[in-house]
Amino acid sequence: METTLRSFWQFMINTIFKTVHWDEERCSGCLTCYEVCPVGCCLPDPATKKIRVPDQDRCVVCGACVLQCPEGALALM
Amino acid sequence: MATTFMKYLETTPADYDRGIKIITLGQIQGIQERIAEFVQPGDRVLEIGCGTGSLALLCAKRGAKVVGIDTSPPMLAEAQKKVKAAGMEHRIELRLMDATTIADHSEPASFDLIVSTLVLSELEENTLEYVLEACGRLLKPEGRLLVADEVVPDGLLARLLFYLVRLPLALITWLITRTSTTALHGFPQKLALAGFKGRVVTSRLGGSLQLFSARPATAPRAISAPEVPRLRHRVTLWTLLKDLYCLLWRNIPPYPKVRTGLYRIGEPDCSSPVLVTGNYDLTVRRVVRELDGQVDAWLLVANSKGINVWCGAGGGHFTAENIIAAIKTSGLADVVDHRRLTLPQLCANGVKGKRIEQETGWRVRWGPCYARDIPAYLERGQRKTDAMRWVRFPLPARLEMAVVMWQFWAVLLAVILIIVRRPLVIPALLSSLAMFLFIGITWPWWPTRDGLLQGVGLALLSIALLAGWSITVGHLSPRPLFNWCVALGSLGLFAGADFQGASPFMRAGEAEHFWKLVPIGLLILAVYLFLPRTLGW
Ligand SMILES: C[S@@+](CC[C@H](N)C(=O)[O-])C[C@H]1O[C@@H](n2cnc3c(N)ncnc32)[C@H](O)[C@@H]1O
Ligand code: SF4
Ligand code: SF4
Repeated sequence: METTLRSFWQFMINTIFKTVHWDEERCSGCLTCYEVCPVGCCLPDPATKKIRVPDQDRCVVCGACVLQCPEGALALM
Repeated sequence: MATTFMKYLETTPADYDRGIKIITLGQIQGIQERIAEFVQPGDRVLEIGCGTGSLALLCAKRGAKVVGIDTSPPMLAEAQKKVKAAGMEHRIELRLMDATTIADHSEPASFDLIVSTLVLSELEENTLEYVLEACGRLLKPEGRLLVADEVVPDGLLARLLFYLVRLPLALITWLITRTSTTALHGFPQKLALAGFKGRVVTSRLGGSLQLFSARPATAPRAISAPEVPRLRHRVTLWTLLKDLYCLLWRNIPPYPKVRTGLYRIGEPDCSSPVLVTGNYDLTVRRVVRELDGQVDAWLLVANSKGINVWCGAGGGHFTAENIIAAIKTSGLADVVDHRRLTLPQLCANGVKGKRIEQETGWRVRWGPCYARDIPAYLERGQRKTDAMRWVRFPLPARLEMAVVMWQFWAVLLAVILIIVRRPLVIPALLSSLAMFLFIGITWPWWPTRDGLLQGVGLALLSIALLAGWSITVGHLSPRPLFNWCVALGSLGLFAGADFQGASPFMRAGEAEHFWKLVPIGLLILAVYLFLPRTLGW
């Protein structure tokens, strides 16, 4: 019961406060995240040949980009 | 809000275990001990679907070397904890793997025992046949397969009793854990077909929980070449009924399912694209509706437990393992000469593309969000436009959502009101429906995307309308007017917050709104209880 409550609490915290974060250093510019993000949060950036994340608030914390990114360059924090 | 709790529960292994205990009335432990008695020290044991690892531990304690496989990472994590606590790391190897790929990861004839409890009943029919044949290949000639599972008993009376006991149990289990289990049909025949000679070792709960022991009898057969059925778009009374059922009953099992496997759409050939989807009946029919007569393609239906791909993947019910299983068991590799799959983009939140590529060598592409864009997508050489990539929330979807959200609360509201104040049932249901529909229709024109703020707006609007009506026509006295204002105001707040929480644009919003609604609800309650008294009404 206690662990259940604790993990429910954690779940709440995650969904309320987390959003996507992008690590430019690691990113290879494969654009997989652009392929899978359902709300257009990760967009291609022709200038740097990587991506840009102009509006983090759009992120619905679905985790698709984090799961698919081959470089581990994205995280929900 | 409702969805928040649901998604949460669906992802907790602790609750899953509890559900299993309830539904087997605690019998599973005795059965597992019985299985462990077959273990000789030094045996190599494979456990299919080890879950939280109880059986693997029992076998390891009797001196076996155990490989436990499961498709659920949270289950495996729980198992790893238990193995560590028991100091059995050197005897138990846990691996994330689907039952259909076991033969790819181990040498033939390399196990003395293959054990599995309450797993095979979760497999789709054709998957089960495939897995049994794989077991035949992995077992040493003198090896043994031990399977314990729920079975539908033979005999009319026993069967009746079975459903009588099972129904309430399944209901309780579902309420507590939001999971349900299925039972095996005709298992002895399936064992025989896969080249085993089997018998029942023990039988509990009136024959509804049985332990089978089987030994390889004949050399394993080669897997037969598949014949691929064709799916067509048809509208009949039956499909309309199913549509209605899916619409009204969306969150509650049993979900109507399509048999997993490979299907044809049109007349595909060996170079036609392979599209993947889940096995929710409505999903498959929608895909077929959009594609039939438009394109020639192969449709690979993978097991998403009868849930739509987005929720299935998000809740951990639809993963890379399910698609790997479908590739393996469908004979897909024999009908096309390329190795490219097109997955629905909306399952990317749970299906790891890289894992499919590593396990099977098939390349993964992410198709459009919506089935209706697939023909255009294929025409463009499988390249997406941004419109195909991003979710939309058009009017029909909003209306559908409004009705679905509403009916869930309508049932609750109706039950409460029937008990406390019957004349209010109809007005309350109608006004709440009107509110959900109102938000659904006007959604794009609200200045804010925050559901709670929309709820506030709706509450104010309905109170204003009510006051206007009261002044001009109704001439309500203050007390009932106040009551109606509080009732409509809270309904509005609630409708706004709940509706928004369910839209694909603000998944995080659900939890947030729940949090904010609690104090607001308490505040309204306090006002309701004390304000009339202080004003002396
Ligand atoms: C009902 S639990 C049983 C767990 C454990 N064997 C027990 O008896 O307590 C079913 C388990 O089978 C796993 N499972 C379901 N389908 C599977 C598949 N295709 N391959 C491997 N494991 C699977 C699930 O992840 C789950 O852990
Ligand atoms: S998927 Fe990862 S590596 Fe690829 S573009 Fe996105 S962030 Fe960069
Ligand atoms: S978590 Fe989901 S919504 Fe957020 S950026 Fe990643 S893919 Fe997009």
